Formats: sequence, C-alpha cells, structure tokens
Amino acid sequence: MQDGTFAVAEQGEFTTERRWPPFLHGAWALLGQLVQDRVALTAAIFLFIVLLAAILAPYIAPHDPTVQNITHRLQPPSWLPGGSQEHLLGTDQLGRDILSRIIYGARVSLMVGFFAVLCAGGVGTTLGLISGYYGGRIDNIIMRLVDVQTAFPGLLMALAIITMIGPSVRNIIIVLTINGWMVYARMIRGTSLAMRQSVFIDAARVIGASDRRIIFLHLLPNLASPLITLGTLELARVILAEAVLSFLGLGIQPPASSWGLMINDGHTYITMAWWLVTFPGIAIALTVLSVNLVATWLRAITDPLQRTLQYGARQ
Amino acid sequence: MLRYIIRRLLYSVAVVAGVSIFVFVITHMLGDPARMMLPLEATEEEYLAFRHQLGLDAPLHVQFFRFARDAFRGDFGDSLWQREPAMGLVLERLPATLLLVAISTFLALLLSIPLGVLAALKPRSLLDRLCTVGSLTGISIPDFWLGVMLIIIFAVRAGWFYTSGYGTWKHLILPAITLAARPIGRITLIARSSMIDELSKQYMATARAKGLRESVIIYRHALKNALIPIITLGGWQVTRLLAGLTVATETVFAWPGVGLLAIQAIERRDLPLIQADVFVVALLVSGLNLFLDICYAFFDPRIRFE
Repeated sequence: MQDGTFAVAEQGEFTTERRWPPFLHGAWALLGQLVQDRVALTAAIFLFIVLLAAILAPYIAPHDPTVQNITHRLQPPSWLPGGSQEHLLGTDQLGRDILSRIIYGARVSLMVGFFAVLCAGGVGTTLGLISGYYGGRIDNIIMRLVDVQTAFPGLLMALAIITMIGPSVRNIIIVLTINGWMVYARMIRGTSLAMRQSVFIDAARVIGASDRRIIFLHLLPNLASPLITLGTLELARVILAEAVLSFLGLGIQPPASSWGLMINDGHTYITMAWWLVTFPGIAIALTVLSVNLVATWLRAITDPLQRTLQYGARQ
Repeated sequence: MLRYIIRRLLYSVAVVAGVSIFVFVITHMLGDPARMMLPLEATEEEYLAFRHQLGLDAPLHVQFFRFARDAFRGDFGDSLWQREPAMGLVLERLPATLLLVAISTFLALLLSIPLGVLAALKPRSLLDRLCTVGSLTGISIPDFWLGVMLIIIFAVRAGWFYTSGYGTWKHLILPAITLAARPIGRITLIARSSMIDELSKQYMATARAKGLRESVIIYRHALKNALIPIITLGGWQVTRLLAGLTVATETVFAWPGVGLLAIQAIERRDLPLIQADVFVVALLVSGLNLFLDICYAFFDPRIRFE
C-alpha cells in the first residue's frame, strides 16, 4: 500500500498526489481499508445506523413525536425512579417521547446537512473550476469575492438573512450555501490550476475536446477525492451550524423537530429535567464526531502527506 | 514593507465596503424593513409615515447613498428598542465580548500546545490516540450544548459557579471553557501535525548528530519552527470567534456582549441595531486580519513580495 502511493508520486502524474482508483473498484478497496481502521469503522457503522434510523423513522420510533400527553410530562429516563419502560429516554415538557423525537430529528439534521453540502459544493466547485481553468480576469473576480466573503462575520450574516427572509428548511439550506461555497471554490481552483498544465489536459485539447468536455470529463473526475473529503468535513460543520441556528430559534420551526430545537426547548427546564437537553446533544455530538472521524480517515488514505502527519512517520 | 501594508489596507477597505453592501442588500432588498419593524396592528397611514420617516420611499440608489454615508460616519440611527444611538449600544457591549474571547484564546493556547507536542513525540501511542480523538470531540461538540451541560453540572448541581451573568471570575469560567473547546481541539491537532512534520525533517538529524540534548532539539529547534502554523491557526480561530461563534455561548450564559446583543436585536426586529452590530463585528474582524497579516509579513519576508 505504502509502495503503491509512492509509485504514483514518482510518476508525477499530478502534483496533488491524491488519486482514487477507477470508481467501482475504488469503493471496494475503500471498504477493505475501512475494516482495517477500527476507529473509522466504528464511526462509519454508527453513521450508517443513524442514517437508517432517519430513513425508517416512522417504523422504528416507539411513539408519534408530536403527540402530547400532559399527564406524562417531564418523565425521567426509564432507569431512574419515576421512569417507565414506555418512554426509554423520558418525556419532555409536553409529554412527548424524547427517543422518538431524536429519531425524527435525525431526518431533519441529516437532510439539511446533505442538501447544504450539495448546494454549497455545487456552487463552489463550478466557480472554482471556471476560475482555475480560464484564469485571467474572471479568476481575479471570483477569487476577490471569495477573499471578501471569507472575511465576513458568517454566522451574524446568516442570522440577519434568516431574520429578513424567515426561517424554513429551504431558507436554512440557502443561507448555509451562501455561507459555505468559498471553501470548495478555493480548493478546486488551486488544484485545477495546477492540473491545467498537465500533459493529459494538453492531449485532450490537441484532439479537439471542447472546454466543457475537458472541465467535466477530464478535470472533475480527478478532483473527486479531495472533493469528497472536503464535503465530509463540511458536513460536520453544517450539521453543527443547523443545530446552532435552531437553538437560537432561527432554524427549524415547531412542530417540526431537530436536535438543536430540542435543546432550545429543554433549556428552560434544566433545573428539574436534565434529560431534555442531554440526549439530543449527545446525538449531535456523536453524529458530528463520527463524520469528523470518517473525514480524517478519508483524508489520510487518499493523501500520502496527510497519512504521515496522521499516523506519524515510519521510523 | 510599506507597499505591502498599503496594499493590505486597501484590501481591508474593500472588505468593509463589501460588508456594507451586503448588509444593505440584506436589510433593504430581501424584505420590507418598515413592515418588519412596525407592530402587526399598524394602520396603512402609520406604515406610510414610518416608511417616509426612514427614507424608504426614496429610489434605491438614493437609499444606498444615504446608507453608505451614514455607515461611513458610524451612524446607523437610533435603536428602536432602546431609543438610543445603535452604535453606542454596540460599543458598550464590546468589552465583554473581547474579554471572553481573550480568556478563551489564552486558555486554548495554554492547553493545546503542550498536548499537541506530547502527542507528536510519541505518535501512535495511547496518549496520542486519546489526544486525537479528544481534539475531534472538542471540535464536534455543539458549543451551546456544552455550555448548558456545564451549567447543569457545575452551576446547578455543584453550585461552584454562577449560571449566567457578568461581573466576577465566577461568571467568567464556564463561558470561557465553553468557547475554548473548539479552538483547543483545532490547535491541538495542528500543533501535533506540525510538530510531527518538523521532527521528520533533515535538520533534526543534524541536531542529533551534533550531540545536542533532546530537550534542546525538541523545544529550541522543532517547536520554534512548528509554532508558525500554530500561531497562524490560532489567529484565524480568534477571528472566527469574534466573527460570530460567541453568539451561542453569550446567549446560553446571558453574557452581555455583541453576540447576545445581535440576538436581542433580531428578536425585537431592531434593524438599526442589527446593522450596527454586524458592521462593528466586521470592522473588528478585518482590523484583526490586517494586524495578523502585517505581523506575518514582518516575520516572514517572502509574503511581502507575493
């Protein structure tokens, strides 16, 4: 494995030294590598379970997350005195089942995360490719925009925009896109700028391929690996951002539930019912931690330099 | 050097101008500020009068000209909530935020550099693994939730600190820890990887061949060089904290800084106050960026000629 990566580097195909094998074969090889890293494997399995729970929420949630039952309000988790088997993680101030609300909350948090990463990644990658491939004045304009926006107070801007256009799932995704596209643009531009000089791009141009063909069929596939790694890292950031927005009351609105919103709801009851805020917070922390662990692992296996930094140089 | 500073200064001016344009677009074009600020039961006459009073019936370019002129003077009008100039209210809250950010940054540097160095000296050891997973946990925990949990454990149950407010060190400790969690994780990771990077370089072999003591090699040679990326990231983390990461923490602890003020202004739909708050924060962030960049250029002459 170690030898293989050095071989790629020595051929000097790309300066980035990151590469995935052809796609299907790559996915299989990736799985093989994942099994060897226990921490990353645990994280990946946890994420898979969360994803499954989000998709299958109506079938596995023990209760309807919106049904209120005032007589059962603020019941502690089942293992504490006063708790019941019926509500494993207890109930909230309106008697709703916390476990069911967490399962349904996974849907919202993951969906917002995926779409926000997809939109920001799409916008950022397109602008980055244009910037890196064409260079010149358009590159200058796009990169100045990236610079200026990176210096913006991001969260405050997001809050101001949400105040004006109103909170909704769609608007949160829009705001997170406006907030996040720059990272992709900068990374893609840098890599494609270096790649533009390489022989296989010249070859494509010589046989008469159009710009669009070169960008989408030659440049983009070679950017897949850093892009997937960056997307995973950004997913962690975006899930946290949605949680913060919802906690501040400017994200997901009731009756829908999200993990951040549950913490906002339970915040008032911390002196008498700690479980209202504890469990949704654990759900966010474990999910984001798993995403981060998988991203770190991805970066390590696709980038030899990162691998050295990650695991230490072989003595 | 002077040329670099001037160019960098012009760039900062461009950023602040960009922020002002953005704020104008957000507040004047994404919705109707007059409708937003008036109570729901306001009559049509009141609405039109209010619109006129705010100058919102003028053509858009005239409005923008007025907005830019007032922003240049730092005058965003009176806060609707406090009936005082919005700018003054924001400046009043600024020291609390700066104090919180300074203490958190100090805490983060104090903890994470030794941790990162220790982890880097023994890669793949138990300590190293704990450090890496611990850092990733620090990055992954939502700060507002960490704040609430700290309140439950150390303020409500143990009673060691106050749950919220501002004034003594007992108010300060919990929010500072909350805010420091993410920078601690990030800086530990970068300290570790840049130390590993330095330790694998050729000059380490030279230093060892000269027979230098291990402590001299590690602290005077490796750490000194490894500090450059650490300080770069540290500076960047401070700008991120100022740029809005304090909002959630200040809200949880009712810490009277600019972040909490922004949320209070948003809840009350107090447009002048929102504008002043965002503007001051943007000014602060680009000022700090400017300072950091000039520092880098001073210490690393290559940057000046880029």
